[in-house]
Amino acid sequence: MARFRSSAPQLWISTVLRIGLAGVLLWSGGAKVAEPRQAVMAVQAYEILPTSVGEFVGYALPLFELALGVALLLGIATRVSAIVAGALMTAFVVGVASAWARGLSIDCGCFGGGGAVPEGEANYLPVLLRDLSFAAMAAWLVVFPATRWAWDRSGRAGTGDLGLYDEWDDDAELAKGQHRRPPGEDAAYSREDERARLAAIDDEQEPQP
Amino acid sequence: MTERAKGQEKGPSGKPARQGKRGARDRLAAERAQQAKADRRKRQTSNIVIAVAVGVVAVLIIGYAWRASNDEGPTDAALPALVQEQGGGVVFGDGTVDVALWEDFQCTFCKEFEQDYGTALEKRVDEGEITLTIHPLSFLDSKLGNNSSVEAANAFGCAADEGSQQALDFHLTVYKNQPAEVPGQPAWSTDDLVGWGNDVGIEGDDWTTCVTDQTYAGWVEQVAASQSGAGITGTPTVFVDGEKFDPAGDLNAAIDKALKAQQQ
Repeated sequence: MARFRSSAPQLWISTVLRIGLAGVLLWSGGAKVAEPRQAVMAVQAYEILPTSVGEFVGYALPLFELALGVALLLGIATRVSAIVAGALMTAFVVGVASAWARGLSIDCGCFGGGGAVPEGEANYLPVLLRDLSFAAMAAWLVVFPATRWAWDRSGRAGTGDLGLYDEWDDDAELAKGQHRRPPGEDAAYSREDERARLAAIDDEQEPQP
Repeated sequence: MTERAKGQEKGPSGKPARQGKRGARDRLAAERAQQAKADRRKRQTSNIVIAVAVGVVAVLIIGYAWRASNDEGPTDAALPALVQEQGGGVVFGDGTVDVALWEDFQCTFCKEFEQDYGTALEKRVDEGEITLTIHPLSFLDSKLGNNSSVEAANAFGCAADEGSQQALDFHLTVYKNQPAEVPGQPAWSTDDLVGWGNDVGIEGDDWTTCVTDQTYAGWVEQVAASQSGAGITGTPTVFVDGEKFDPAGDLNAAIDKALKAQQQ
């Protein structure tokens, strides 16, 4: 698979988004896990899933959000976690849009609460826009999963990607000043030198014997 | 290539960094291959660890949700006199139209509902028009950080032992005295509940003991567990002859309509 390109500004943007999305998931999961029966009511209020499935989802969802939040906070398998988080946010968008389209009068139950509300008190547009922006954050992380302060990057080049891409871009290593020096080279051997050396290896044809 | 040449010029040993293009290339290739192999091994180990962790967490979550959604409370709880089956609501009257009411004693909308319809429903029970079943839920306890809904539901069960009229009166009295929601604080004390019973003529040691010892805690748990199976998404929820009543409508009209439908 293609090498993953990264640059210093991208690393910072992705880091902020990763931790932000983790915060969203930990907050929403934490608020729901504190009131499990309310969470069940919130899911059932969408009237999308059969009653018993909605009950199961209502109990499982808060814990799932917490687990996903922890994975993103620590930067474990960032790309896979971001794919899952993006899918979750998209599902929320679909659910809220569907409730709106069917004229249901419910609280989204996004951060705790939820269930039926009196006619006219439902407020879907801000919720939709918010969930869409969370989905966009996740999408960015799927494309640019390299971040700072992540388990994925703590000296385990390429770890946590579950094979979704082959290796980290050398640029990222070089940007961090962690490029390897070939034997016999001293500290003055710069990242440009290493980049040129790698490029040369990539480019050179094996000579005929 | 100029950059690399510059790097080589600065080599500390003074000797040229490359002794022949061929040898250096082989060395670099071998070094890279070794590094790639080590990286791959590290990555595989890490991915296995992550996969196992994900599996364990998934099993735990699914197990918990499965157990929670199949939990119906204790199987053989003590039931108040007016409750006919395990986990059932308190049944009042013997009319032809079934009105099922799902409430939480701490729910503010339920207080409004009781202000609007409480006495009218009581009258219909008395006149033999409806069978009223009240299911006292307690999901607001976790939201408000107290135990007041469970305590009131238990006391309601205790009141049901005293008689139909006493239980309905007690039920309305609790709503009448329901304070504004203050998270983290109990809505009422056990003494309040005992006292409100006294106000409607329920007295004696049996009553006090039942309220303070939470004699019907098991039943209250059963009722709480039954709400998700019934698809209750808010309180109050009212069913008239099994049909969900639209809270924007007029309940009296809905009941009259059901009565008329049965007379035909």
